[in-house]
Amino acid sequence: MKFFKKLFINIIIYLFVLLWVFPVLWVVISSFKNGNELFRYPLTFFPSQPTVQNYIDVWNQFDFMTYMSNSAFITIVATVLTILISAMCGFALAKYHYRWLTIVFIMLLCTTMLPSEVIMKPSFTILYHLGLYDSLWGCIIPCIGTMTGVFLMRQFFITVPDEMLDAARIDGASEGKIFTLIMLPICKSQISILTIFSFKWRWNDYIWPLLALRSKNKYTLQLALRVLSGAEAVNWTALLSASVITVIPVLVIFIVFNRQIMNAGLSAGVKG
Amino acid sequence: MKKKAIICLLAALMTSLTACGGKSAPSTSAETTANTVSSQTASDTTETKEESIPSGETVTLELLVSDDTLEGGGMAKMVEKFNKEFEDKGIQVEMNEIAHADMDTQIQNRASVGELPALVRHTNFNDYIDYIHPLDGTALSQEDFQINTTRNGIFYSTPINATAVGMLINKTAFDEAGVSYPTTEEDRWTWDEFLAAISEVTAKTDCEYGMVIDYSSQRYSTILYTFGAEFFDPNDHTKVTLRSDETLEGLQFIMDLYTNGYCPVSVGIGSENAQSTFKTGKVAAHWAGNWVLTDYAENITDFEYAVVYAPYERECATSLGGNYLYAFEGTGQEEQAVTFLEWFYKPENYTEYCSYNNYLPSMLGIDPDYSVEGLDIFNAEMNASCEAPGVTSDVNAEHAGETYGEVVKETLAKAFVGELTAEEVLDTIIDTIIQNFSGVSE
Amino acid sequence: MDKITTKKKRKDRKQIWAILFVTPNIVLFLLFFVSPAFVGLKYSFTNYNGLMKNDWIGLQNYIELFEDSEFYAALINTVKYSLVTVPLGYVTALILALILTSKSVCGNSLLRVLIYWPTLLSTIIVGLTWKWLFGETFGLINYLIKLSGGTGIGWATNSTAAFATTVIAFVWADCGTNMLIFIGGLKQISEDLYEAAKIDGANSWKLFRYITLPELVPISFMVIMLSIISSFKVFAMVQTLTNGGPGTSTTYMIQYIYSTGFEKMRVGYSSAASLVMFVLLLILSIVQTKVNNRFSDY
Repeated sequence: MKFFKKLFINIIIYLFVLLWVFPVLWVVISSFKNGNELFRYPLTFFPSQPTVQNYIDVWNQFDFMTYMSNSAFITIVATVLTILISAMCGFALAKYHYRWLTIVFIMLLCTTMLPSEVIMKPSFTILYHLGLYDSLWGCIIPCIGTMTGVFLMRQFFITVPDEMLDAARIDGASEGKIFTLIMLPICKSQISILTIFSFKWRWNDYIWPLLALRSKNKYTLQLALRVLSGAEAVNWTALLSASVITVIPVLVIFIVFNRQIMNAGLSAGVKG
Repeated sequence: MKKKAIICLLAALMTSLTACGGKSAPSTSAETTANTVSSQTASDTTETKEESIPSGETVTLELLVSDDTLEGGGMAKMVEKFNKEFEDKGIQVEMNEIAHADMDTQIQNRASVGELPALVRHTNFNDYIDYIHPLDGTALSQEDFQINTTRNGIFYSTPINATAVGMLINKTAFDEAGVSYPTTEEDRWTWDEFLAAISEVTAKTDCEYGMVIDYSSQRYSTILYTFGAEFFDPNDHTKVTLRSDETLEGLQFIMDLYTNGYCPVSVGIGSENAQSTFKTGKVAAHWAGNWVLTDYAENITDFEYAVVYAPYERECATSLGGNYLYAFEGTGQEEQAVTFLEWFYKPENYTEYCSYNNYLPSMLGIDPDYSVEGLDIFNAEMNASCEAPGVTSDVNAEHAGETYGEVVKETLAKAFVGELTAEEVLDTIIDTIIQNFSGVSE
Repeated sequence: MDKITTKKKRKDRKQIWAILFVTPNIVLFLLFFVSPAFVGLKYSFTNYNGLMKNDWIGLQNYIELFEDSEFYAALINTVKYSLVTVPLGYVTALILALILTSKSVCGNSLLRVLIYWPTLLSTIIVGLTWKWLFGETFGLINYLIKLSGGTGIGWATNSTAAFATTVIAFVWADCGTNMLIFIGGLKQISEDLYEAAKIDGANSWKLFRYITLPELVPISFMVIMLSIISSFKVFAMVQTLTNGGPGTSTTYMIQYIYSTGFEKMRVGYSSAASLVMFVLLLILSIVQTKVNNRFSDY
């Protein structure tokens, strides 16, 4: 009886997930279609003549290796820095009780509230005067401070009992030591989540690369792929296959770090 | 030991970031001036350029373009040809292709810090005339081109290709329904005849809609021109002359297309895309720009389509648009850039370029060999068109840095769902023009 | 005496560490938010068009904004949109997180990947697939409806249906993110709490109501706050799906800012509108933080 109940629940869940992911599957499958089949009516799900030509074309059109390595550099460096400064800031916001920290919290929250267009022009000027123009660092430095990251860390550290810190303080540990040796290791799952997010943000970002870069050999993948949609036309076949290619690294990161999240919680023993 | 290292690292990170912060203090104030500076002539920016080319060395010109690959890669081909010919003459061109949507941001940003490329191909040049290197005194001259790019008596920019608006039909469906369509200019449909034709096609075939119109102010304005509408007085560009019975009739005609079910409302309000919709093969006609031909040639194989002479009411009309190729001032490479331009517009090179990307030539006396059919009809539309569209684009050009945006399509979209009447659409369009263009009135 | 000074010294040092910890973020905040925001503030009093016009016009932009009925329509639409998407997104993400961490679901790590996947698609691709599905003229759903004899749904032309599309698309494309945050939160809840409650005979609803939900309060606070802000800022998605239509029924504040401001090169005006939106969000956030502080330690 219990078995059938479980089976039933599983079937429902799998159907739901299938429905959820159906549009994505359609994208993946459509990337193997000819251009003329994409908008055929009635719409088709499976390609009538599957082809990998779209992939070959898009691969030949772009210098994928250069763009990918630029994107990878930005993504990896920015992610490491994001985690570090978010954890620091989140820890401070959660574990020190000064009035000015509440103001800091609200201030940081503000950064998410303006449309990017408003910020773009002035940000470019600042970028330029910092000497970050046409440098990959120009796509890294401005965006490592993220409210989501700080927030995520803050909300985690709030749940860490104060006694844990006080014990370390009595042992004579400095605040820096407490942070690096005690706090960082226990937020493994938050670090994993933030890695997944940051990787997605930076890999898919085009705003900062657009502002910061002007040389062909420094372009990122997203910036380069924007060429596929023009003033009046969109190269759908290339765009579909390019989207499938570019999403792979981010999915891999998700799969790897997702496992970390699932393992982390059990062994952390924060509350135990 | 280890923890000390980590702490040192953190401290270093912080100080480096604070150092950045310190540096930025003057930069914020520089920002405020940057905007005013950017509006002055480009000669200011010359100082910041360190270019001084010793003779005998190769100069590499940066050519900033968008959409070239999408439209056939013709520019890349020409650059390759140029580089081969000029290998020993000290000039090379490097093409830097970016997305059309990013073009204005790039140019404006690069202009504000004096890092403009030597050459650019873009849909917009009017906004940048302060930065453009004038082409007077070169082998190029305004008389050779059919689009006017002279501003304040200075020839700034070359129109590299023209675009025009016209009518495409689903030939397979027309043939199946046995409905004929004009094949010569004399046989042009009136709009009523056109409506009769598409009604018959939708009745007799499995076409579900008579027509789709791109969600574009230019496409709608072109219909208005055929009804005799004029946005501005040809003799006095400060007078908005849109308010007329002809315009109202045209607006009402467009709205009726949607209320009477000839056109799908979802396309008219910009939710669905006209090009994708025409590709289904279930639409009899598409009021479009000539550039769709390149896309359709590649991506429509399920049915045949054809370009036909556009319907008219009082006038024949098309709207010209296009791209411009120009050199920037202050790069230290103006001379070499002009050399490239002069080479590019040699008839044999320019013909090759237009043939390659299936462009309508903007230079007079050029007859490209196209790989897709129907462009000749667009060329004919350009010659048959009335004067009004040209006046509008001249006035738009005179108001560089000002725009009334896409008010025509946006207000019409509201009219299609019954929020506005034709009169209110007209009022809104006129109000928006007057509000955004300084010094114009009714 | 000695003890007190060491204690004070310790306290001072603690504050210095606190300052050090937040410094990188504050520096970035000053550089890439405060100074641009001030420039935006300055623009809002001018007729700046992004190029040359840049004259001081005082409060004119703000007056025009507050006299524009479309602005209020957009504001009401936005509030309506937030009121629907935020709770819906919250519940969906939480349920998915609960299901996909449950031991009775097989292969749930694969399912998590599949649920997260949509958040990785670019807007243009989301737009394409949603047109395939929800296209009014030639979309799959309407095709199936017509095939079974019905009349298609006006996904684009019926304002309720259009509103629903923007809501569903937002939840669909955003849910994976919040789900992951919830999973992180769920994993932090100690198993012992559940074990103890089970011994006391609590059923699964009671476990959820009295353990899971309270333990998730910090995470919930965050998810709701960030969702509200992002629901105010969802631009590209709505633009591709409904283009703000039919009429103005899915024109949200950010659409208003773009179509009246940036698209007409009225940077000054759109800066003013953006700042008004900013102030609204700021007030909302402060209230939320205050309320949250009052009712819990978080």
